[in-house]
Amino acid sequence: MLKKRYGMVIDLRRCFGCQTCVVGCIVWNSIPDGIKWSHVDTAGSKIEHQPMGTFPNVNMSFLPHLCNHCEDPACVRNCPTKAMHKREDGIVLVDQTKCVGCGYCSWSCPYGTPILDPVKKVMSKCTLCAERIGHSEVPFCVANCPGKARIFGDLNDPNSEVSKLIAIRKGRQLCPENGTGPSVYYVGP
Amino acid sequence: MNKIPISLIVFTILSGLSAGTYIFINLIALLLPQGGLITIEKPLTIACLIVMCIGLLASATHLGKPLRMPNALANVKSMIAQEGYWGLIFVLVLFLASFQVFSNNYPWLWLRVIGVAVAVGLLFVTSFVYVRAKGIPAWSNSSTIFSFLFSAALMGSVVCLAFLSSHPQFIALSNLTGTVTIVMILLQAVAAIATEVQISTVPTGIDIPKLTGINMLRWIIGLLCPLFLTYLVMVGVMPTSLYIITLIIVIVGEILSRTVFFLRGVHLKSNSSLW
Repeated sequence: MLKKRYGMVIDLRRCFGCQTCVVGCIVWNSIPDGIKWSHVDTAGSKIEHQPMGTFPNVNMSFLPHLCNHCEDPACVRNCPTKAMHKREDGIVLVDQTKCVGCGYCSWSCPYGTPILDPVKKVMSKCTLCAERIGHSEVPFCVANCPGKARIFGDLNDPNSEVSKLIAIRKGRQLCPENGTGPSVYYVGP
Repeated sequence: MNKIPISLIVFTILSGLSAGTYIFINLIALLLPQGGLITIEKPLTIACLIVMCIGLLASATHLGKPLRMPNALANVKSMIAQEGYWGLIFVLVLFLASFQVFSNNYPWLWLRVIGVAVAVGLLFVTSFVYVRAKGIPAWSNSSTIFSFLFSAALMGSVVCLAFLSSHPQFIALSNLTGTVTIVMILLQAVAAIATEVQISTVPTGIDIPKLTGINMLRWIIGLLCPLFLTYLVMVGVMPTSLYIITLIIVIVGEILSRTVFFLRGVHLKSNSSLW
């Protein structure tokens, strides 16, 4: 039997950029002021909520970002302290008792996900709410998404909802050319 | 724009200065041995040790938890850990060499050879720390390697030039080092142009700061002025004491160059549509 590999599918047709996932993540994980573990970009624009295109042919969609919990994470490979590690179930975590706060994980991550905790002075990142998963719950951002745009599950289980969605709706990873094998998939508008 | 990581600028400049100087003085001793070279080698080797130690201490200050620094040696596959190992081995080599020159003995031949290899290794590994930073397009390219190597070589040759020119018995060696310095300035200029070309031609999806003003200042202070000054001293128009000025402006130029490098460390963050 294959080991579990937790991942997420984000349905961009359902995301309407409300930022509940971002705020919920900050609240649930008690993230200090000034940093966040996830963010929602307005696709194709550097300005939030700015539509793409020229009137009357305009559209606006959103691209939520979080740690991709990659199969071959660059942060784990490049962390000098081995603080950044990957669990058996595919979740990438940082052991803050080992971390020296050099920031190299953030430089080497193609998505720039790890961020320095300004209070603890060590790196921090999305944990995929590992403690919730341990209690058979889904990550907080998934549970609280008003549009039900986030679907969580085991990517190694072909019968899981995430696997089916990826197969049926041709799920795509963000910047797959980096070769890290992200576990977060997007299904399109 | 990225904020200026002063500790990393100090570390990379000082380690480059130390390694470059050590390489040059030992290559001179190995390839062009001359009597009385100990008068140059003694202060330079001890200075290299001091400068390298200051550099390593400076590198610790950019960490969120500097007291946990030994943890950073745990994963030997990481370039940061390798940089730490190469740095510590280089300090050990410098310590042994300093101990010998302090007693007016020339360092052992094997120590010179190993020392030069370790210094070159340290420079490579330091540049690879940034080359492997795949999330930062301005750093993660091949010109970073040449930029770091030529920077150290330039600083090392100018240090040796300034010291050799102050001893009349080394006039021939000084002229040769002057020629090498001019070549190093030209190579560093080529590396600087290559960096600009690579940054401007690779599609990154982000705006990398151009920093034209500070870059021009670097070209004038760090490359053009030292080039003309070295040439004018070599042809006898100006006194050899001006090599000290060349040394100072080369180091200032390299600091400006490294500042530009770090300010361009903007992370690649895709906000483009997947479809």
